[in-house]
Amino acid sequence: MAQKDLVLFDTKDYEAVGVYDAWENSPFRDGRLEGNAAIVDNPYTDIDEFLGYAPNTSPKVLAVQRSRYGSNQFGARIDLTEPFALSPTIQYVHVLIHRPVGGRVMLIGLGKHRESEWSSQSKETEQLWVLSSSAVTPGKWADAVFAVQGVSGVDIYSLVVVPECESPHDRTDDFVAYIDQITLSSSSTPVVQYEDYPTNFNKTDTYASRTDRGILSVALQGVQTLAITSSPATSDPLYRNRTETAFAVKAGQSVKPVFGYKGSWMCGYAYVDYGRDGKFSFDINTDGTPAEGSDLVSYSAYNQRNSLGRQLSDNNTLDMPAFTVPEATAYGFYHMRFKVDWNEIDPAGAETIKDNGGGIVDIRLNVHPDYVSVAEDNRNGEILAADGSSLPATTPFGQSLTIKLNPENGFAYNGVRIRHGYNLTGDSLVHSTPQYVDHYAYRDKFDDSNCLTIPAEWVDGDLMLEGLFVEKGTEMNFDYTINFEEGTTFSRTDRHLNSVTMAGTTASIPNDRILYHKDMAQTFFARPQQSLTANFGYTGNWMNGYVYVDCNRDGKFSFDINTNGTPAEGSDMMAYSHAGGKNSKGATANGNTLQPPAFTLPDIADGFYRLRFKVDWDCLDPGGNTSEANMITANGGGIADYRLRIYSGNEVQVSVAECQNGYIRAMGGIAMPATTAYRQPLPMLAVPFDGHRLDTLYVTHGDLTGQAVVHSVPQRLTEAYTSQDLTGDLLMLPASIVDGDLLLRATFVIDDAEPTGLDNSEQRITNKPQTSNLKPQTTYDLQGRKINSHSSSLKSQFIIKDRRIIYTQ
Amino acid sequence: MINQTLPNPDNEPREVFPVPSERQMKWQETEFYAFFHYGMNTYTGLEWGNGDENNNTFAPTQKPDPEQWLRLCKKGGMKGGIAVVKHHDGFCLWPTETTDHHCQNSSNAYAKQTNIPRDFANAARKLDMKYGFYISPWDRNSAYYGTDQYVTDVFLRQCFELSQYGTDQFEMWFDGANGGTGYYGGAGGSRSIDANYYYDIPNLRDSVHRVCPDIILWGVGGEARWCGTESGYTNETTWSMGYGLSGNENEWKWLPSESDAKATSGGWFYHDGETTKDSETLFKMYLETVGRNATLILNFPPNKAGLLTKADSTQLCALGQKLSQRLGNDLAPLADVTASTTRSGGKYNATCLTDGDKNTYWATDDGVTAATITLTWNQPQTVHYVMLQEFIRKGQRVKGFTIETTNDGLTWTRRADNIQTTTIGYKRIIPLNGSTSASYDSGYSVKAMRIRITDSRACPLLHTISVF
Repeated sequence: MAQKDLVLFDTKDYEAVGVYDAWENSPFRDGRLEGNAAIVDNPYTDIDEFLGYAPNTSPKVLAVQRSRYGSNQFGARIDLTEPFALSPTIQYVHVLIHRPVGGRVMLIGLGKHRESEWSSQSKETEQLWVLSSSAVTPGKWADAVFAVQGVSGVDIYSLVVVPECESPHDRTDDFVAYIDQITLSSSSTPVVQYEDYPTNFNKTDTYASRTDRGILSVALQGVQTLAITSSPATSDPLYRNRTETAFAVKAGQSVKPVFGYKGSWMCGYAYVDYGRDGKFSFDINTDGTPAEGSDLVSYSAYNQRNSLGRQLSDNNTLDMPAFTVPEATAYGFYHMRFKVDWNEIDPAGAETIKDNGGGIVDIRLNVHPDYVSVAEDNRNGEILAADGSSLPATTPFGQSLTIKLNPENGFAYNGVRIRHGYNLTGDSLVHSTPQYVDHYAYRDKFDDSNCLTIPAEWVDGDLMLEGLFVEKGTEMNFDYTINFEEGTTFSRTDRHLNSVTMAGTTASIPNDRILYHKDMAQTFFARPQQSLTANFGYTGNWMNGYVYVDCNRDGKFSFDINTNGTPAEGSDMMAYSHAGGKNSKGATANGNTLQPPAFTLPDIADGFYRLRFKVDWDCLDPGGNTSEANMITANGGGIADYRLRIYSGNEVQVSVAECQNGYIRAMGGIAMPATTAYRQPLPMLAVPFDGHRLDTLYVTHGDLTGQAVVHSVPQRLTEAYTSQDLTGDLLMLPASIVDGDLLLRATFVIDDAEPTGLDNSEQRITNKPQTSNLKPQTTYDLQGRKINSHSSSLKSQFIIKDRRIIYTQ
Repeated sequence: MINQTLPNPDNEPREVFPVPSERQMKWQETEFYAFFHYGMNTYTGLEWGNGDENNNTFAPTQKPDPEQWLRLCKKGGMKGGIAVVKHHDGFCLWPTETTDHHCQNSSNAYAKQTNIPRDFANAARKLDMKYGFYISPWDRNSAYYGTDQYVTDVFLRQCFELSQYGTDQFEMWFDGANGGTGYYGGAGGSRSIDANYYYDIPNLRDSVHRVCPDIILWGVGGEARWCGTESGYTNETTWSMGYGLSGNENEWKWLPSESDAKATSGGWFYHDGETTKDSETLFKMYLETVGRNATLILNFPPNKAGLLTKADSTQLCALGQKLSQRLGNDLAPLADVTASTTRSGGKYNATCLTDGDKNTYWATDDGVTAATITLTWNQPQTVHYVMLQEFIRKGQRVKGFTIETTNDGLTWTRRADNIQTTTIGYKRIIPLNGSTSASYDSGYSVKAMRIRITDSRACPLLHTISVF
């Protein structure tokens, strides 16, 4: 790389300094104002936090006052002691500049032809006006690079550095810009840069302006294609960082970059940062071929040549020649850029790239070996090959690998951390380019043999495996996961899931913008093979309803469907209103259908099952839609989990496990154990011995024989009642808890409360019970016979212990 | 820093950069001018000659008459013309010293008398019209094309020779076609150049401007831009900065738009059987170019006799009548004109809008980018068009405006709301019925008209409002 210092300002290596304004009516041209430019001590010599070094420690710099009375072509003029020659080969003028404002910077060159026939020409002739090739960071020493070119025979005698090429009409104050170290170089790469892989526009808020042109895909032919969009829109970003994608190649491989592009009359450019320095050099030889060490690897057209140096009839081609990845390229991820632009090799993009319908897509290039290394880093267990043998030291690139976790005694595992890529013990980002990624595979992804198959796409470089071994009993729970954190919220206010109803039970859901709700005390009831219809209460439209039941109680919902859309045999998918244009009946479905069709439960055993309701868009996955375009959170969907009670009988057993200082009987004095009707209210008598009162009655209900919890689903629950829940000695157990066998434990204690003053034969209870659960639905005599039907207009009466107790509404 | 101040007793608005140069202003004011494609192709029937055409092929049936060309175009409402004096075939229509491939080396007697630059310049001066020349940088005849010698010994010298035909030329037209196959002195093959530097434009411009200070070097010359189409229109939004149909308000350089279009049905050169577009079509082109902040260079190709055809004459006369009838009677000076806000300083009143002086202008105070201008007539007027002109010497500013009319002083109706009333620039003509193809209908009877400036890069400056 050839480089020549033009002016460094530390000595008087310039002829003169001043100001210049290209505007013909400038007050700086007619003498109304004088400029202010001078050599001063460098005020900014500190180490830059981002760079880690001081970008300019030069003692002297040129300071220029940017006057608000100058035009957008006003700047510091530096008369050179020796002119430099323009040439048809592009040269690059580098200028260190420090200014407090953003905006464009420009270089104007003044000079003349040196031949004798041009002897009368003025040295003041403007020979070039060049904007810097890349955006220049304000508030720091930055390297503004200007590509200069001209016919042979022209010398540049003066340079004008325009520190702000914007209209100053709104400017009320001037500012000082500092200029230093003006060099002429064959390299276009900035020596100081504060952003990795910069663009000449704001990456985050610049959008396309055309729909007739746009990048549809980028590819390395025969290697991989990355889809970008199917239909260009003005909402498309001009810059796309798709570095999560890596195209895999081998050193020495010849590859051809290809664009899918809507439109024509544009050119394609490809860059690979082989130096991994956060920037793309783009130097070319005079014949158009990339210069030695250039990161510009291929281009279709620039000044009617392509990167092979081939002459073109015009620039109207996107056909980029193949390029060869250098043989000596080290294995690793390299930042690669695809750019559609018009006749511009600058990787940051031409000024017209937006208006012309161009765009930039950054990906990674994975230069890989045939075999990648495999290592483990474990305590309290080991990672083995699938057959239990030692883990291999290498494995074929791009092929899946099955591993087996083997905890030590007393330990279990939650899963494994899989770090894959390169430089696994170094920084994960090198100039913003991911070098490796950590993926976690949890226990629920392992099979019964404690084996996990690492997918081929994760074997994209070296592997470092760390087993997540934990003490037994402290393992994580992986039952019924969703694809989001449990507390995930969404911001939409126009959509939310309000309630779900099925088989006569409704569960209300608070409008708290939380995606996932779970209530294992809320139970829906059904019988095996019962036909059910779920109904979603939902604010919003163009969303779909899904119902799942974990029929095999394995802690997860399978959701396989047949090709016709109906749930597959053994699937936990019960019903859905729309997915892929169909519903769970296999019928054509409209996307704006919320309520799913009826479904019939399989013939499953009695027990409590996990039940999931989901509102989502076109997504069978019970964990929720995670696609970028239709993420369930973005769409205002919702997921709600409850218990589903399956029971085929009509009666349940009621028994008393423990009772002191009193007795528990069913209404009618029926001794325990006894049977009672399933899901019917059950009046119980909790009768204390004299001088005692009920302290606590525990009612455990459900499946009392098996595991208390099966994959996070309680099979039985316990309610606690105190004397305050009694009406006299009567405790009316609601139908909802008569959901299986009941087991009661009662404790009576000495009653030291004050007497009520009412006579013993009749006690009027005037206070309403605290819970509606205790409302009697029917009345019984002491033999347990129903006396009459309850209605709100009637008083209910109970005859207990030969006393008549009247309950008033 | 030092304290810099400039006296500003009149509270003159500051420029919004970029601004036009003086020569760009003069060029812009030419507005509507002719293009005359005449040369070797007229006799070969080609559009792009290869450069190997025999000089004798150039055989006018009578002496070409540039005065006839310009006279008819003046009747069509044009203020000037550009004559093609060398197309890509390299055949020169004047006796150049740079090549033998020129008209006076033809065996044809009329050709030997032909010197288009001389005769065209003389005719323009006689008719008080502006004039300039098209000279193709690409030369398919020259053996030197593609070498440095071509630029210094052929192209720049030809430009200099042309400048000798008159220092008052207003535009030199450089075609964008650069390189490809050709005769190249018999060598044949294909030659390409890098137009970014090959023609040494900075020094060509410097040389030409020293001789002809008012010349705009079009195209690669970098002083005016191609509007982006040859179909006779530009976008409703047109900035005099940037490139293409709309330009770009954020560009740093003043680069006004010129629309080149053909008045005939076929190519740029005369071909037997081609027809001339009717005057209504040409008037539409005018509205969609001149009326959208561009200039219009409209091509009328002289025939083998070196004359415009009778059909050309007919349509040009009809076009001139339409321009005069439709855009010749300004009703705005008859109106009482007021503005909702006026810049302090005493020089920027709304009356400046109708005083006929392009150097006076109405303005608002700094920071005020919206205002309403109202024109009120004593008697209802029938109106068809509104013409607005910014004082662009201080930069193009207006980004949005609307036009409303009322006939009772109470109910205001927005007009031409199907049109993007965004930019104004040097000149914007709005057909109030929203149609450029059928703009001249029965019109609207109005007692008053409101022009609302809704957005502007800085305080808006308008020097003229005309109502027709």
